[in-house]
Amino acid sequence: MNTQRIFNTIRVIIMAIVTSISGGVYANIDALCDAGFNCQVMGNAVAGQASTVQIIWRGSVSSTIGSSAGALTVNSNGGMLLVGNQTLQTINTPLSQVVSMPSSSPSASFQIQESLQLSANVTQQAGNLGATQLIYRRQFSVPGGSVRQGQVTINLMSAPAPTPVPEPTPDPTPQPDPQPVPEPVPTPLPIDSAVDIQQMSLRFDTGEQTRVLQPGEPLAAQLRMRYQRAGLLRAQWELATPSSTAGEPVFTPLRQVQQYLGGGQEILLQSPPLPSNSSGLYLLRFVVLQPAGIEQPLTIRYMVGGSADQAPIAVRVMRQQGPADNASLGSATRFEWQPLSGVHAYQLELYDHSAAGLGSPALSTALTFNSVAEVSLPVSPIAGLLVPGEQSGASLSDMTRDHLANDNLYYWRVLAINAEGFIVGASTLRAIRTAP
Amino acid sequence: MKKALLNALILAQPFVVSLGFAADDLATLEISLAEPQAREAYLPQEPLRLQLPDQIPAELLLQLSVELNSIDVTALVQYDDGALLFTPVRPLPSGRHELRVVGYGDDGSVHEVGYWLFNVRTPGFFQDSSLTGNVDLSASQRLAESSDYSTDRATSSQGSGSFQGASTTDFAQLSGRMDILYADNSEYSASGKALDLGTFLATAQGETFGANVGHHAVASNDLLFDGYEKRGVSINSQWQPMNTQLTLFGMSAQDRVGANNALGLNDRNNQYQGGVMQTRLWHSASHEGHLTAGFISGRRGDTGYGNWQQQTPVTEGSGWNMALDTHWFSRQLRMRLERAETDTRLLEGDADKDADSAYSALVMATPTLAEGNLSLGAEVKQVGLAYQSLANPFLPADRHSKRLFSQYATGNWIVNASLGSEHNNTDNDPARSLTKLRQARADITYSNFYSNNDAEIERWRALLGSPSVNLAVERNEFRDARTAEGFARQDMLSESVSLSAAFAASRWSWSVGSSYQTFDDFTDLQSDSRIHSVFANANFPLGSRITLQPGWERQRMHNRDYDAVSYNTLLSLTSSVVILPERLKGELSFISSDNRALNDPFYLQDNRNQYLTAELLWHAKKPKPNRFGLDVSLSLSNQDYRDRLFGENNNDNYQVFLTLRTTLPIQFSGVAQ
Repeated sequence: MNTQRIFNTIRVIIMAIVTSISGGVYANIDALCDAGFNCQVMGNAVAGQASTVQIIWRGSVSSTIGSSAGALTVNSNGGMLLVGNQTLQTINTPLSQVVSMPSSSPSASFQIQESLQLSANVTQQAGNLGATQLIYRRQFSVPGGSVRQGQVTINLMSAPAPTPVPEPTPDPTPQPDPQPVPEPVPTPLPIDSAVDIQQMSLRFDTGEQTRVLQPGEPLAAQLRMRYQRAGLLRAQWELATPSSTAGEPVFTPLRQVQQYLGGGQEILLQSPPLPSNSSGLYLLRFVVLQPAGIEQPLTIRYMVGGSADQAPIAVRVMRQQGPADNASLGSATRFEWQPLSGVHAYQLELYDHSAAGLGSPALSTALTFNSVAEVSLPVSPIAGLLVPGEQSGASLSDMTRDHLANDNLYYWRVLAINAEGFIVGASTLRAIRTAP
Repeated sequence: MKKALLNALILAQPFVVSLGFAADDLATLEISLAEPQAREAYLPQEPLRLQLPDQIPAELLLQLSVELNSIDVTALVQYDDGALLFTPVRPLPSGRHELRVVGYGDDGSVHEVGYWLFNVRTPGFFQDSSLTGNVDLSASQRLAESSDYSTDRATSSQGSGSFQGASTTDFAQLSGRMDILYADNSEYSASGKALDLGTFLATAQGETFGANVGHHAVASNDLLFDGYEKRGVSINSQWQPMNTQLTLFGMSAQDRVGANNALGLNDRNNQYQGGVMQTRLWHSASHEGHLTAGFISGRRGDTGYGNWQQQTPVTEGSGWNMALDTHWFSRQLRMRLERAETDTRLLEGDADKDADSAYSALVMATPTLAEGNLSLGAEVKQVGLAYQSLANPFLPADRHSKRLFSQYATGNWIVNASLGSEHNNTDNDPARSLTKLRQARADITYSNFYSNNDAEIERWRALLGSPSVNLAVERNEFRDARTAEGFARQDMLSESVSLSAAFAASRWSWSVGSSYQTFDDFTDLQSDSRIHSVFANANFPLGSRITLQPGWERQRMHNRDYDAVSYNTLLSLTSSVVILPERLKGELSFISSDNRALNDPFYLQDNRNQYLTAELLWHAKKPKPNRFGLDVSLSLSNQDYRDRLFGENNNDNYQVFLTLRTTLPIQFSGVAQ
């Protein structure tokens, strides 16, 4: 090791003398992916699946004193992916890095990170060839210097279920000569995640995929994912706010997701509350980091417009927090709901179960409140209570209870009404029973 | 609100407050309803004035309750110069209305003090009409930017519009809503065009017939339908004597935005047609039964905007379902059965039709208890390998699942617990692996939002806020019962425990939480790892003009196979300052994301990303209904990325904008005020 460095230093000095006499500048890649500068591969390729591996190329460069601006640029125009001597794919992605040369030494080390994406076709092709490893070669150079080739080995794993891995077919032809004993195949290292994402759908918690809302209106989003197998999901909720979407959108992280998917085939992920305090365009996206292969994040958008002082124009679905559906009405039963902003009063309404149309599941569950017509029910409430907008819950008054019969079933819901008299929120119907 | 009423009364008539009065006073109390301004009828939002007798004791007044159309409106009744005043919170529809005042004596006696029937008149053919909306348009000028953000576009414009209207005719109730989004840079639009048509719906509903055009759901979530809104057209008919409703529809099979194919019915490869019939078979206070049947036929390809899927082949076919939902024994027992079948084929390639079925059975009991509410349930569901509903693309196929679940709520406590098991390979095909999942979940929540008589609890509540604390545990075992030849074996276990606490007061709130997750792959295909997460955030005012929202979360992941540890930290601070009330305000937001994974085998990284955004907003002219408003804002965004491994990735960019925004709120109530 030391001998090698001494040799390199002597060589540099000699070349420096030669080049200074000739008036030129000498630069060279002295080492690349050798024992002193170990190149590293992180991750494995899986046969038949798109895979991403991280590679760190390491080496050292040297130059004569006075090389341009004390810095060298290490370049690589591309590389090749091989199985044995067979080329599977040519990689044309260039890599480049500026290496600062210290004034005290003619050489400097460098490392370049590469994220190599292997298509499912390439890994399948390699798998069909019976390969357990892929060779990845890249040529690096510095201006005015020689070209040097680096090489790393990528482990290729068999695909997990459900892709069947063909059994090796025995060769019927007799082996004429004893073949050299192959080197034992190294045990594959564990991969990052075997989760196979099949579908994703991103929408707001109101079910829509675009929204126009008032400043301060609450909003969240949901990601519904269908997947196979089990393993780690790493992802991130990101948002670009109006302070950047008038120009170049800058996505800031809202929440990191690191979660094990346990094999249930589907999951619903909830975003953190989304801001709506500034007017303008917001872009919300869900970025999947692991498992690899989903390059394009899902993006939906919403716009905040108008003034917080004016009436919201859409009827929002309100969530009831209690009592539970079909609960018993007691003397202490308290009706609670998720509060909305800009509400003048809430109207708690109770309907008799026998009222026409109310028993229909279509009415009680398909109320999506896109319009006043859907909020309107075909019957009038049998009783109810008006509550100031500052409250998000109430118990029934004696006057309200006087309207209710014993041992009967009622449906209840809440309407939110703003100062202008418009309905701005409504809940679905829940059943509640009175005591015998 | 009654306290407020009492205070108002004491201020107005301090001399009338006396501590002694007879309950019989309620019976002799005389209150009169003031005449309407228009003499013959009240206007829809005209205040109702109940004139009180002179010298009424405050205590007596507090025992009165006011009811309008069976709704107790006492909480919003005001005392005004010797009268009780109530202004309807919603415009009253034309017709006759009922007003009642009732007194409740200390001895439990109830006296109806007054009862009136009065008329409300709304002129015109379109009664109770309303139109609300908002149009918002902004123009931004780029004042400065770093080189990475330099662009030819020095100016940009954006806007949005949202409209909602409703009207009642003698024949039907009409309503509609529509969202419009505009961005002159079409890269940021949803459809690739500057002007996007967002969600919209027009509805006409009469006594017997109704129609919907736009985004709506034609059925709730079941085996055939996903319950999401889609673009389309539907008509419905109700036969009250038969308690039956029939809906016929043509719907887009994908999520769509934009003005193209606005009805969602132009793309032959992405639409389905069909019908849903819902009927109530029997109904009483004790039991009830509903039958629902649906049928669809069409094609589905790409799932559309906001969706991603691995493969998007066009599938065509049909499907039907039938569900019987019943309640028994004073509705303490619910039983639901559903059966569905689909018959689909790929439009290209494999032309063979593939038919399969799905079913579900649910039993749920909610017995009446002396204290608290209990619900117990069991469900069995199977979806065949080739089952594929065009209207429910996210339903996982080839899955047989069973689950038991329960919830018990009493006082401030709610406990949930569930056990589930499922397996794939519903055909028991020996050429495919049979993988089983066992799942157990439980959580307990304590919340205490309302004051009680316990001084100790009240002291803690005043100090910390009203608490809501949740503890949850979960365990998933996922392993092959039989591994088919040529397939990789699966044998995994994941477990998690999380604890979170949220505290809320009237003006501030804060929360903290922590979770620990473990994952073990006993086949060594994947790395075994552990994730520990913690978070804390708050929202509180500093004085009357400043609000702060700090937040922090940190995740530590230990990859046991590689003995590698990675950290992700997210720190945020958002503040808003009211500089001049209703005129000038400022917002400042700072986010720092720090990712350190120096020996992570898959994601080597060591970086820090800091974001700073700021906005100074001047309300030059406040918008009013049907009058423009004008805002001027100066905004800055800055991103500073530092890669501690690869310095060439570092960047520090900023952009500054001056924005003019005009807003026009539209409000039309359609009735004479």
